[in-house]
Amino acid sequence: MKHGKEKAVYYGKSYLTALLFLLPLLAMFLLFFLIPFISGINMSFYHYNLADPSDTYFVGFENYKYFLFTKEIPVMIDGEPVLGADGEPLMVANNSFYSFWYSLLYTFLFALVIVPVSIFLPLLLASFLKKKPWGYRLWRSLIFIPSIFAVSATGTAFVYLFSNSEDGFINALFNTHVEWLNTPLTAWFVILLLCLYGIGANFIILSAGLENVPKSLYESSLIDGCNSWQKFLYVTLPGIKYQLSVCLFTTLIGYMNLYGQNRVLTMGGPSDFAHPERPGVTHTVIYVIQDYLTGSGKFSLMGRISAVCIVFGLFVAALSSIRLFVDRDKKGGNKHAKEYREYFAKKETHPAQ
Amino acid sequence: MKKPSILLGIGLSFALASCTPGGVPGLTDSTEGEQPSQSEDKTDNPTSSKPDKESDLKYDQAGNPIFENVEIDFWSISIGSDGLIQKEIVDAFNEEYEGKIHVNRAERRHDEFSSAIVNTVVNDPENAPDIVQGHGERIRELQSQGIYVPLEEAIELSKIDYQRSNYFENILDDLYLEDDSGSEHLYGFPLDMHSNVIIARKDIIEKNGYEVPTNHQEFIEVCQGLADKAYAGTYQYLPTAQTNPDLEWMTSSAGTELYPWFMSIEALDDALTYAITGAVQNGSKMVDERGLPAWNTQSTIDYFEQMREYMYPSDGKRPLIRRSLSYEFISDFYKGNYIFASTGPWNLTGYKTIFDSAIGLGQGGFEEGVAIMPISNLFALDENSEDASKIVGTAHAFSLTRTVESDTVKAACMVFADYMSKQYVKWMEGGHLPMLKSAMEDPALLESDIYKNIGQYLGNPEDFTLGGVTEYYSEVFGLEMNQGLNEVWHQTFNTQTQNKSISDIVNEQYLNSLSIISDYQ
Repeated sequence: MKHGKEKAVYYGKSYLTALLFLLPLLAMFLLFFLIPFISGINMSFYHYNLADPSDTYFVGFENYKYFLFTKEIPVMIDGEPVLGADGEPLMVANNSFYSFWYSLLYTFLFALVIVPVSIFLPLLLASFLKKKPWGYRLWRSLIFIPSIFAVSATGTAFVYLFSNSEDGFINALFNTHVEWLNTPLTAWFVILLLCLYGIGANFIILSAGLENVPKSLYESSLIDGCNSWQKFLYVTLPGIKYQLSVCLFTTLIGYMNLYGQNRVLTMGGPSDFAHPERPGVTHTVIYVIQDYLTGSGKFSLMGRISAVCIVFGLFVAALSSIRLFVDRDKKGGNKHAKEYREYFAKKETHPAQ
Repeated sequence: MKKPSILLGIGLSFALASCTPGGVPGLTDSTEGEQPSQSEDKTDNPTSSKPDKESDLKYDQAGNPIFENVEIDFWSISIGSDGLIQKEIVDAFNEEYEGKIHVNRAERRHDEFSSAIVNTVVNDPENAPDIVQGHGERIRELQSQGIYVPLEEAIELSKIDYQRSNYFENILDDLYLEDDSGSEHLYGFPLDMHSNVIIARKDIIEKNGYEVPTNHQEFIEVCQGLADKAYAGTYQYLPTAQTNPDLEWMTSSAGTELYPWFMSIEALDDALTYAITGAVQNGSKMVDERGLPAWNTQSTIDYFEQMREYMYPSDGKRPLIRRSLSYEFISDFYKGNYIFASTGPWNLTGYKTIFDSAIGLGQGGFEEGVAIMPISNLFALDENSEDASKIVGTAHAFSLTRTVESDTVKAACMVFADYMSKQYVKWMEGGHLPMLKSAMEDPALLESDIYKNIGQYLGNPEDFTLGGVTEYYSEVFGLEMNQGLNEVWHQTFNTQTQNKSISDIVNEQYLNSLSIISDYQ
C-alpha cells in the first residue's frame, strides 16, 4: 500500500508516462485537427482573402446563406452591378448554390450504390475464401493488393483503358466507340469500377469477422435443419454485425469524401448540357471545394469554402452518428450482464421454465 | 467528460490567441501591417526608392550595380523539353555570373502555379520565389491580387537597357497593367511568344494535285478535294516504311473515308488554336474593357457553325474533320490518314526525327514531306477581314513577387530577366519567338539551323496577340475548367448537343461565365 507523497509520486509518474506516449498524437490532433477546425468555423463567418489577408471582414452567416439558399445573384464588377439590356441589374444563376446542392446529391446517390457494393462484394469473396478453396492464400492477397495502390496510379491506367477515343483499350478490344468518360452513366460506372479497387480493407475486416463466428453455432443450426441461406442470415450476419457496422460507416464516410477517382478519370465532367448552371455530373462535394480552392485562380473565397466544409462536415457527422445508435449495445458494455441477471432472476422465480 | 473539455479548452485558447481584430487566425500576422505599406510604396511611386529604408544596393564608379554572391530563387513554368533548354541557359548564366549572381531554378506545373505562388507568397514568404516566369496572359489575375509588383523600380536599380519600344508592342502592351490608382506599370518582363502551328503532309497534297494552302478557303478546298478523291478511290498516299517497305505511293480504294483535318476536342492547345484564334480571326473580341467575356458575337456564332458543318455536313458534302477525343495523331499522320494537324512547335524536332526514319530520306524526309504552317489566315471565313492574320498565342514573361525587399535582389532579378530575353537563339529550340524586335534582324538567329528549320514558320511576331487582358482569364476562356469559350467549343462538336443551336450554346455559356465571375467576387 502506497500512502501520501509516495502515492502522489507514483500516480504523477504514471500520468507523466502516459502523457509522454500520448504527446505525439495529442500534438497532431491539436495542430492538424482541433486548431484548423476551430479556425475553419471562425473563418466561415468572415470574408477572407488568402492573397490579401488585410481584406478580411466579418460577414456573419452570409457565407452560409449564399450557398445554401441564394439561387440568383446580380453580376457585379468592381462592386458595381452590370446592367442587362432592359437597364435592370443582370441576374445570373448562383454557381455556388447549384454546385453545392447538386454535388451533394451526386455524392449521396453514388454512395447509395457504391456502399452496398463495397460491403457485399468483399463479404461474398470472404465467405467463399472461408471455405479455403485451392490457392485461397493467393486469392486473399490478390483481392487485397489493389487497395494499396495509389488512386492516381490505378486511375491513370483506367484512363487508358476507358479512353473515350477509339484508341482506348476497351474500345479497341471490343471495336466499340463508347465515350466512357463523356456520358454520365458510363462515367459513374468507370468511377465505381475504380472504387472497387479499394475493397481490400473491407475484405480483410469481414474475413476476420467470419473467422470469429463460433463453429458451434453453425453446428447447432445444422441440427436445427437450416439451409445455407438460413445459416448465412441467422448465424453469419448476426455474428459479423460489428464488423459490418465498421465497414458500412467507414465506407460511407470514405465515399462521401470521394475525390481522387473522379478527379483522375473525369475531371468532374461531363457537363450537364441541359442545365449549364449545374456542376459537371461527376462533381462531388469535395471536388467542388477543391475547385474553389485551387481551380478558380481566385483566393478571396476562403470564408465561403470554410462554410461549405463546415456544413458538409456536419452532414457527414450526422450520418456517422447513426453508427452510435447501431452500436449502442456494444458500447453500453453491460447489456449481456443485464440479460443474464434477468435470466437467472426469472429462473429462480420460475424454476420449471 | 473532463478530458474532452480540457482538449477543447486548449484548442479554443490557441484559436483565440491567434485571432486578431478583423483578421483570421494564424494567417494575418506575417503580412498584416507591412504588406499594405509595401504595396502602396511600389504601386504609387514605383520608380522611387523607399524613403524609410537605406538601399542595400551599391554601385561601382561606372554606375553599374555591384553584385556579390546574390542568390535568386526562380520559379519557372517551363517544364519538359522547354525546361531542359531553359536549364541550360540558366546554367550558362550562373557560370557567367559566378560569384555575383546565382539563380536557383525550380519548376512548377502550369495547373498548380497560381495556387502555389499565392500560398507561398502569403503563408510562407521566406520561401517564396523572388522572380517567376509565367504566362503573360495570366499576370493580370495575380497582379490584381497583389502578388506581383511593378518592375520599373527594379529595372531602374539594375541599370539594364530596357526600352519599351525594343519589344513587340502587340504583346508587350498587355504586360503593362493598371494598378488600383489607375496608373500603368510593367508587370511582366517580356521573354517570348508562342502558339501552335499546323503541320501538313505536303508530299500528299502535291501528289494529289493541290498546293499547300495559305488561307481558309484554300485550306477547305484541299480538305474537301482530298476527302472526295479518297471516296472516289483516286487518293494517292504514302504510308510509312512499316507497312510499305518499298515506300511506294498507293491509291485508296473506292469508298474510303478520309478525314483530312485532325482536331482533338479534348486538347487545350487545339481549343486555343481553333476556338480562340478562329473566333478572333473572324472579328470577335475576347474581352471587353471591364475584362468581361465579349465573345458572344454573331461572328463567333457564324464561325462555330461553319466548324460544326465541317464535322457534321448537312449539304451532302463529305465530313472533313473526325470528332476525335484522342490527343494522338502522329502515327496516322505518318500513314497518310490525316493531312493537317495542330501541334506545339516544341514537338517538331522530335517529329522530324521520327518522320525521317518512317518515310525515309530517300523520299525527301520531313523537309520535303511536311509543311509547317503558321495559323495566320487559316480560320478566317473572310480572308480580307481585318483580323484574319491574328494568332492568339501565349507569352512567357518574368514577374517579381511582392516578397522581394532587397534592392540588390530586385536588380539581380532584372539582370537575369534581361539575360534570358537575349538568349533567343537557344530559346527558339523550345519553339518560342523572341519578344525583342532586334532579334528578328539578328543574323545569329536568322542564319541558325533552328530558325531555318522551324523558327521562320512560327508566324509573324506582329500577328500575335494574347487575346485580351482580364483578371477573369479562367472564366472568360475556361481552358482548364470546361467553361467559357472552351465549353462552347466542346458543345459545338459534342454528339449530345448536336441539335442545340450554336447561338443558344454561346448565350448559355456567356451567362455561365458571368455567373462564375460574380460568384468569385
